[in-house]
Amino acid sequence: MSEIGEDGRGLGVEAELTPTGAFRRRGSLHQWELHFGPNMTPMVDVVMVILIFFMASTAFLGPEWFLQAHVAPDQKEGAALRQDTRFRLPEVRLEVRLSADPTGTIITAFGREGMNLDQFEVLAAEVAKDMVPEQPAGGAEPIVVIEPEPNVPYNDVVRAHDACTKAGFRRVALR
Amino acid sequence: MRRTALQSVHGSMHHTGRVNVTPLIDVVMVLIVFYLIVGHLVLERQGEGRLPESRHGRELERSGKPLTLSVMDDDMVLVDGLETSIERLASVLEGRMAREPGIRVELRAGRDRPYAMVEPVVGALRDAGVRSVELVTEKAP
Repeated sequence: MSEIGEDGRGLGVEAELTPTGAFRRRGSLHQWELHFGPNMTPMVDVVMVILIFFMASTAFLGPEWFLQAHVAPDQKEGAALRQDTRFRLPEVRLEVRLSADPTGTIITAFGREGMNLDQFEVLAAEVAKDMVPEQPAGGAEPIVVIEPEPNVPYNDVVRAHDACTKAGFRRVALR
Repeated sequence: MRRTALQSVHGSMHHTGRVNVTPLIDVVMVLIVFYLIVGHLVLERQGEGRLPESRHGRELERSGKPLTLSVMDDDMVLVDGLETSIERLASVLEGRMAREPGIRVELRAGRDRPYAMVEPVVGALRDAGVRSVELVTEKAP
């Protein structure tokens, strides 16, 4: 049996007891790497758990989409803006009223009453085809103002907004 | 001091006689942090409710930190995670707009909330001079 020093480098070779009881000889270089390399196990453990964390949190959070909504001015401010048309054409405002009904949300818009959300989506596409310019025109574009009643579910408000966006309206406001 | 090879190979086990618990502690610590964060998110989501669905929204490039408003179910609004009452919201927003003009505003509200709970927030945004807001939705399947 050979001997090794405190630093583990050994004095040439060292031995390891195998299951059969025999000694296997190992080079001192191999022994050095075995005992004195950085211990990667904790780092690998932590990295794996962090990886799982990010995978799980991504699945949990899910993708989020954003709908841009303008904030419609209140009645008084809106009336003042509409009167101040000295240097420009008055703004075209299309009002979409949402009201709650036992059968679902009822929409009154573009001169038609009693529509559900699917019917509104079709009509909005037809109206937008005639009214929305192909190129963005800023303030000259019509603005759709969604006015829900207080008991309308927020999901239906967003669906109405979504339908207007799909139709091509670039300015959709919430009141 | 010199040791034999056999003592060197099996020395640590003979000396300590214990399992190395360092990796276990590492993993447990990270799991605790994971559950703390997820628990916080779940609580926030429960208060806020499930987001409405949209098909024609867009993904935003996250440039800069937005101002996030979450409509909770007890007449409270979280402004960047801090609870604020509806009554104080307009003044809080005004202060924030004065400090960071042009900041992007995100509005989060549960799909089952009646609009009556969202309307005061829209009103506060109007009063604070905010003219545009991003409605946060889930991408519809």
